[in-house]
Amino acid sequence: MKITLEESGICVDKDWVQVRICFYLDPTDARYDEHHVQVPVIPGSGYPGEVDAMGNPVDMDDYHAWIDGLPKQWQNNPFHNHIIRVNPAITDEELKARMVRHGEEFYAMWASGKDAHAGWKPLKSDEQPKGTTENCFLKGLDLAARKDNFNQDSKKE
Amino acid sequence: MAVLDIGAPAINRGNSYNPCTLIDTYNPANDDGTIESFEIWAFLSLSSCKAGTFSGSGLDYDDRDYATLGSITSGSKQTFSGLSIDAITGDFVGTYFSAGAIERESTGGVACYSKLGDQFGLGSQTYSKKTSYIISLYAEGTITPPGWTGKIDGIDDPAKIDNTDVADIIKWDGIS
Repeated sequence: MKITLEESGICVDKDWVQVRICFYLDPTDARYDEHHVQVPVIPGSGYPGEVDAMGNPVDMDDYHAWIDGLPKQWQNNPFHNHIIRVNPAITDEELKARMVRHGEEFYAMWASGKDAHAGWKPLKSDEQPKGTTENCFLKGLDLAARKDNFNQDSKKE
Repeated sequence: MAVLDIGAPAINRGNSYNPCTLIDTYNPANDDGTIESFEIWAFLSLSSCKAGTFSGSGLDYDDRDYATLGSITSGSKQTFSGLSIDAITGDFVGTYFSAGAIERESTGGVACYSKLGDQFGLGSQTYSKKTSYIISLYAEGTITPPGWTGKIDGIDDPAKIDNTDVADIIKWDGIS
Protein backbone atom coordinates (compact mmCIF):
# COMPACT_ATOMS: atom_id res chain seq x y z
CA MET A 1 0.00 0.00 0.00
CA LYS A 2 1.15 3.51 -0.78
CA ILE A 3 0.11 6.54 1.23
CA THR A 4 0.27 10.10 -0.09
CA LEU A 5 -0.85 13.62 0.69
CA GLU A 6 -3.23 15.00 -1.96
CA GLU A 7 -2.31 18.61 -2.64
CA SER A 8 -5.76 19.55 -3.97
CA GLY A 9 -7.33 18.49 -0.67
CA ILE A 10 -5.13 20.65 1.55
CA CYS A 11 -6.84 23.85 2.71
CA VAL A 12 -7.93 25.87 5.75
CA ASP A 13 -11.06 24.49 7.40
CA LYS A 14 -12.52 26.29 10.42
CA ASP A 15 -9.04 27.37 11.59
CA TRP A 16 -7.51 23.93 11.24
CA VAL A 17 -5.26 22.75 8.45
CA GLN A 18 -7.29 20.26 6.43
CA VAL A 19 -5.11 17.49 5.03
CA ARG A 20 -6.32 14.83 2.58
CA ILE A 21 -4.58 11.47 2.73
CA CYS A 22 -4.89 9.01 -0.18
CA PHE A 23 -4.35 5.27 0.18
CA TYR A 24 -3.37 3.23 -2.89
CA LEU A 25 -3.22 -0.55 -3.21
CA ASP A 26 -0.25 -2.50 -4.55
CA PRO A 27 -0.95 -5.34 -7.03
CA THR A 28 -0.39 -7.89 -4.25
CA ASP A 29 -2.91 -6.18 -1.92
CA ALA A 30 -6.45 -7.42 -1.33
CA ARG A 31 -9.12 -6.38 -3.87
CA TYR A 32 -6.53 -4.58 -6.01
CA ASP A 33 -8.64 -4.87 -9.18
CA GLU A 34 -11.51 -2.81 -7.74
CA HIS A 35 -9.56 0.43 -8.10
CA HIS A 36 -7.18 -0.54 -10.93
CA VAL A 37 -9.38 0.60 -13.79
CA GLN A 38 -9.29 1.54 -17.46
CA VAL A 39 -10.37 5.07 -18.28
CA PRO A 40 -10.67 6.96 -21.60
CA VAL A 41 -7.96 9.43 -22.55
CA ILE A 42 -9.83 12.68 -23.25
CA PRO A 43 -8.16 14.95 -25.84
CA GLY A 44 -7.53 18.53 -24.82
CA SER A 45 -10.03 19.76 -27.39
CA GLY A 46 -12.80 17.85 -25.62
CA TYR A 47 -16.01 16.51 -27.12
CA PRO A 48 -16.44 17.86 -30.68
CA GLY A 49 -20.23 17.43 -30.82
CA GLU A 50 -23.02 19.84 -29.90
CA VAL A 51 -23.40 20.78 -26.21
CA ASP A 52 -26.13 22.66 -24.35
CA ALA A 53 -25.78 25.86 -22.29
CA MET A 54 -24.46 23.83 -19.34
CA GLY A 55 -21.80 22.20 -21.51
CA ASN A 56 -23.50 18.81 -21.51
CA PRO A 57 -23.65 16.86 -24.80
CA VAL A 58 -27.00 17.21 -26.57
CA ASP A 59 -26.83 13.74 -28.15
CA MET A 60 -25.70 11.34 -25.42
CA ASP A 61 -25.59 8.37 -27.82
CA ASP A 62 -23.14 10.28 -30.02
CA TYR A 63 -21.17 11.31 -26.93
CA HIS A 64 -20.86 7.74 -25.69
CA ALA A 65 -19.86 6.53 -29.16
CA TRP A 66 -17.11 9.19 -29.11
CA ILE A 67 -15.98 8.12 -25.62
CA ASP A 68 -15.95 4.44 -26.64
CA GLY A 69 -13.71 5.30 -29.60
CA LEU A 70 -11.05 7.03 -27.50
CA PRO A 71 -7.84 5.27 -26.43
CA LYS A 72 -7.88 3.87 -22.89
CA GLN A 73 -5.28 3.85 -20.15
CA TRP A 74 -4.93 1.96 -16.87
CA GLN A 75 -5.26 4.04 -13.72
CA ASN A 76 -4.72 3.07 -10.07
CA ASN A 77 -7.25 5.02 -7.99
CA PRO A 78 -7.10 5.42 -4.21
CA PHE A 79 -9.01 2.66 -2.41
CA HIS A 80 -9.75 5.26 0.24
CA ASN A 81 -9.37 8.99 0.97
CA HIS A 82 -9.31 10.39 4.48
CA ILE A 83 -9.55 13.97 5.68
CA ILE A 84 -7.88 15.08 8.91
CA ARG A 85 -7.85 18.50 10.57
CA VAL A 86 -4.62 19.36 12.35
CA ASN A 87 -3.04 22.22 14.23
CA PRO A 88 -0.49 24.15 12.13
CA ALA A 89 2.19 23.24 14.69
CA ILE A 90 1.99 19.53 13.80
CA THR A 91 5.42 18.10 13.01
CA ASP A 92 6.27 16.07 9.93
CA GLU A 93 6.87 13.02 12.12
CA GLU A 94 3.46 13.35 13.80
CA LEU A 95 1.72 13.71 10.45
CA LYS A 96 3.57 10.74 8.94
CA ALA A 97 2.69 8.63 11.97
CA ARG A 98 -1.00 9.45 11.56
CA MET A 99 -0.85 8.64 7.85
CA VAL A 100 0.60 5.20 8.58
CA ARG A 101 -1.80 4.51 11.44
CA HIS A 102 -4.83 5.42 9.35
CA GLY A 103 -3.49 3.36 6.45
CA GLU A 104 -3.23 0.30 8.66
CA GLU A 105 -6.73 0.86 10.06
CA PHE A 106 -8.38 1.34 6.68
CA TYR A 107 -6.48 -1.46 4.96
CA ALA A 108 -7.42 -3.96 7.68
CA MET A 109 -11.11 -3.17 7.16
CA TRP A 110 -10.74 -3.19 3.36
CA ALA A 111 -8.95 -6.56 3.39
CA SER A 112 -11.78 -8.02 5.47
CA GLY A 113 -14.15 -7.31 2.58
CA LYS A 114 -15.86 -4.23 3.99
CA ASP A 115 -15.76 -0.53 3.16
CA ALA A 116 -12.41 0.84 4.34
CA HIS A 117 -14.05 3.24 6.79
CA ALA A 118 -16.72 0.85 8.11
CA GLY A 119 -17.12 1.47 11.82
CA TRP A 120 -14.15 3.85 11.89
CA LYS A 121 -14.11 6.53 14.60
CA PRO A 122 -11.36 9.06 15.38
CA LEU A 123 -9.39 8.79 18.60
CA LYS A 124 -9.92 11.47 21.21
CA SER A 125 -6.19 12.19 20.95
CA ASP A 126 -6.64 13.03 17.26
CA GLU A 127 -8.55 16.18 18.19
CA GLN A 128 -6.19 19.12 17.86
CA PRO A 129 -6.52 22.74 18.98
CA LYS A 130 -7.34 25.28 16.29
CA GLY A 131 -4.72 27.63 14.92
CA THR A 132 -5.18 30.99 13.31
CA THR A 133 -6.44 31.31 9.74
CA GLU A 134 -3.09 32.79 8.69
CA ASN A 135 -0.99 30.07 10.34
CA CYS A 136 -3.21 27.36 8.88
CA PHE A 137 -2.95 28.91 5.42
CA LEU A 138 0.85 29.07 5.62
CA LYS A 139 1.10 25.50 6.95
CA GLY A 140 -1.16 24.30 4.15
CA LEU A 141 1.08 25.94 1.55
CA ASP A 142 4.13 24.41 3.22
CA LEU A 143 2.64 20.90 3.24
CA ALA A 144 1.49 21.20 -0.37
CA ALA A 145 4.96 22.31 -1.47
CA ARG A 146 6.61 19.37 0.33
CA LYS A 147 3.89 16.76 -0.29
CA ASP A 148 6.27 14.28 -1.90
CA ASN A 149 8.27 14.13 1.36
CA PHE A 150 5.28 12.40 2.93
CA ASN A 151 4.92 9.58 0.39
CA GLN A 152 5.12 6.29 2.23
CA ASP A 153 5.09 2.58 1.52
CA SER A 154 3.32 0.69 4.24
CA LYS A 155 4.59 -2.85 4.73
CA LYS A 156 1.99 -5.33 5.90
CA GLU A 157 2.63 -8.47 7.92
CA MET B 1 -25.41 5.33 16.90
CA ALA B 2 -28.15 5.78 14.31
CA VAL B 3 -27.13 6.40 10.71
CA LEU B 4 -27.80 9.61 8.82
CA ASP B 5 -27.76 9.25 5.06
CA ILE B 6 -28.40 11.49 2.05
CA GLY B 7 -28.24 11.03 -1.71
CA ALA B 8 -28.13 8.17 -4.16
CA PRO B 9 -25.69 5.26 -4.40
CA ALA B 10 -22.34 6.22 -5.93
CA ILE B 11 -22.38 3.72 -8.79
CA ASN B 12 -21.41 3.53 -12.44
CA ARG B 13 -24.42 4.94 -14.34
CA GLY B 14 -25.30 5.41 -18.01
CA ASN B 15 -24.71 9.13 -18.46
CA SER B 16 -22.81 12.04 -16.94
CA TYR B 17 -23.06 15.66 -15.83
CA ASN B 18 -20.49 18.29 -16.81
CA PRO B 19 -18.94 20.93 -14.46
CA CYS B 20 -21.41 22.97 -12.41
CA THR B 21 -22.96 23.08 -8.94
CA LEU B 22 -25.37 20.15 -8.69
CA ILE B 23 -28.02 19.32 -6.10
CA ASP B 24 -29.75 15.94 -6.02
CA THR B 25 -33.11 15.80 -4.22
CA TYR B 26 -33.14 11.99 -4.11
CA ASN B 27 -33.13 10.65 -0.54
CA PRO B 28 -33.00 13.83 1.58
CA ALA B 29 -31.44 13.73 5.06
CA ASN B 30 -33.45 11.42 7.30
CA ASP B 31 -32.55 13.34 10.49
CA ASP B 32 -30.39 16.10 11.98
CA GLY B 33 -26.75 15.20 12.37
CA THR B 34 -23.23 15.29 11.02
CA ILE B 35 -22.04 13.86 7.71
CA GLU B 36 -18.79 11.97 8.19
CA SER B 37 -18.23 10.44 4.75
CA PHE B 38 -18.97 11.10 1.10
CA GLU B 39 -18.98 8.63 -1.78
CA ILE B 40 -18.75 9.79 -5.38
CA TRP B 41 -18.28 8.11 -8.76
CA ALA B 42 -16.76 10.35 -11.44
CA PHE B 43 -17.18 9.51 -15.12
CA LEU B 44 -14.26 11.82 -15.97
CA SER B 45 -11.82 12.85 -13.23
CA LEU B 46 -13.07 15.87 -11.27
CA SER B 47 -11.13 19.02 -10.38
CA SER B 48 -11.64 21.31 -7.36
CA CYS B 49 -14.52 19.21 -6.08
CA LYS B 50 -16.60 20.32 -3.10
CA ALA B 51 -19.45 18.38 -1.53
CA GLY B 52 -22.01 19.36 1.06
CA THR B 53 -25.60 19.84 2.15
CA PHE B 54 -28.27 22.15 0.74
CA SER B 55 -31.62 23.38 1.98
CA GLY B 56 -34.37 24.95 -0.06
CA SER B 57 -37.35 24.27 -2.28
CA GLY B 58 -38.64 25.04 -5.75
CA LEU B 59 -35.70 26.36 -7.75
CA ASP B 60 -33.95 28.15 -4.84
CA TYR B 61 -31.31 26.41 -2.73
CA ASP B 62 -28.64 27.46 -0.24
CA ASP B 63 -25.68 25.38 0.95
CA ARG B 64 -25.65 24.68 4.67
CA ASP B 65 -22.15 23.27 5.04
CA TYR B 66 -19.52 21.65 2.83
CA ALA B 67 -16.02 20.25 2.53
CA THR B 68 -13.36 20.81 -0.09
CA LEU B 69 -12.38 17.38 -1.44
CA GLY B 70 -10.09 18.41 -4.31
CA SER B 71 -9.32 16.25 -7.36
CA ILE B 72 -11.22 12.98 -7.71
CA THR B 73 -10.19 10.21 -10.09
CA SER B 74 -12.70 8.55 -12.40
CA GLY B 75 -13.62 4.93 -12.94
CA SER B 76 -14.34 3.70 -9.41
CA LYS B 77 -16.24 4.74 -6.31
CA GLN B 78 -14.16 7.21 -4.32
CA THR B 79 -14.86 7.45 -0.61
CA PHE B 80 -13.87 10.32 1.69
CA SER B 81 -14.01 9.84 5.46
CA GLY B 82 -13.11 12.08 8.38
CA LEU B 83 -15.58 14.80 7.39
CA SER B 84 -17.73 16.91 9.71
CA ILE B 85 -20.55 18.52 7.72
CA ASP B 86 -23.80 19.76 9.27
CA ALA B 87 -27.06 18.31 8.01
CA ILE B 88 -30.67 19.02 8.99
CA THR B 89 -33.64 16.80 8.30
CA GLY B 90 -34.74 17.26 4.68
CA ASP B 91 -31.39 18.63 3.44
CA PHE B 92 -30.17 17.56 0.01
CA VAL B 93 -26.73 16.49 -1.11
CA GLY B 94 -24.80 18.64 -3.55
CA THR B 95 -21.45 19.05 -5.22
CA TYR B 96 -19.38 21.39 -7.36
CA PHE B 97 -16.46 20.59 -9.68
CA SER B 98 -14.63 22.81 -12.15
CA ALA B 99 -13.69 20.08 -14.67
CA GLY B 100 -14.61 16.47 -15.39
CA ALA B 101 -18.00 14.77 -15.16
CA ILE B 102 -20.01 12.90 -12.52
CA GLU B 103 -22.01 9.74 -13.20
CA ARG B 104 -25.74 10.40 -13.64
CA GLU B 105 -28.87 8.84 -15.06
CA SER B 106 -31.86 10.58 -16.66
CA THR B 107 -34.42 8.38 -14.90
CA GLY B 108 -34.88 6.85 -11.50
CA GLY B 109 -34.34 9.99 -9.46
CA VAL B 110 -36.56 12.79 -8.20
CA ALA B 111 -34.85 15.87 -9.69
CA CYS B 112 -31.42 17.43 -9.99
CA TYR B 113 -30.81 21.17 -9.86
CA SER B 114 -27.81 22.70 -11.60
CA LYS B 115 -26.14 26.08 -11.96
CA LEU B 116 -22.86 26.95 -13.64
CA GLY B 117 -19.99 27.94 -11.39
CA ASP B 118 -19.20 27.35 -7.73
CA GLN B 119 -22.29 28.29 -5.70
CA PHE B 120 -20.98 27.15 -2.29
CA GLY B 121 -20.89 29.99 0.19
CA LEU B 122 -22.89 32.36 -2.01
CA GLY B 123 -26.23 32.12 -0.19
CA SER B 124 -29.52 31.23 -1.82
CA GLN B 125 -29.27 30.79 -5.59
CA THR B 126 -31.74 29.92 -8.35
CA TYR B 127 -31.07 26.67 -10.19
CA SER B 128 -32.27 24.89 -13.34
CA LYS B 129 -34.28 21.71 -12.80
CA LYS B 130 -33.94 18.33 -14.51
CA THR B 131 -36.81 16.10 -13.45
CA SER B 132 -35.99 12.44 -12.69
CA TYR B 133 -32.21 12.96 -12.96
CA ILE B 134 -30.03 11.24 -10.36
CA ILE B 135 -26.28 11.49 -9.69
CA SER B 136 -23.73 9.23 -8.01
CA LEU B 137 -23.24 11.18 -4.79
CA TYR B 138 -23.96 9.69 -1.37
CA ALA B 139 -23.21 10.82 2.17
CA GLU B 140 -23.41 9.08 5.53
CA GLY B 141 -22.97 10.18 9.11
CA THR B 142 -24.39 10.09 12.61
CA ILE B 143 -27.65 11.45 13.91
CA THR B 144 -27.46 14.03 16.68
CA PRO B 145 -28.99 12.41 19.77
CA PRO B 146 -31.91 14.35 21.21
CA GLY B 147 -30.95 16.32 24.29
CA TRP B 148 -32.93 17.13 27.42
CA THR B 149 -35.68 19.66 27.00
CA GLY B 150 -37.42 21.69 29.63
CA LYS B 151 -37.01 24.87 31.69
CA ILE B 152 -34.10 25.56 34.02
CA ASP B 153 -33.29 28.88 35.67
CA GLY B 154 -36.12 30.37 33.64
CA ILE B 155 -34.60 29.35 30.29
CA ASP B 156 -36.54 27.08 27.94
CA ASP B 157 -34.56 24.21 26.38
CA PRO B 158 -31.05 25.50 27.19
CA ALA B 159 -28.29 24.35 24.84
CA LYS B 160 -25.80 24.07 27.74
CA ILE B 161 -26.02 23.43 31.47
CA ASP B 162 -22.93 24.20 33.56
CA ASN B 163 -20.99 24.68 30.31
CA THR B 164 -21.84 21.16 29.12
CA ASP B 165 -23.83 20.60 25.93
CA VAL B 166 -27.23 19.27 26.92
CA ALA B 167 -26.95 16.63 24.21
CA ASP B 168 -23.84 15.25 25.98
CA ILE B 169 -25.50 14.90 29.40
CA ILE B 170 -26.33 11.27 29.99
CA LYS B 171 -26.99 11.38 33.74
CA TRP B 172 -27.91 14.18 36.18
CA ASP B 173 -28.06 13.67 39.95
CA GLY B 174 -28.13 9.94 39.35
CA ILE B 175 -31.06 10.15 36.94
CA SER B 176 -30.44 8.90 33.39
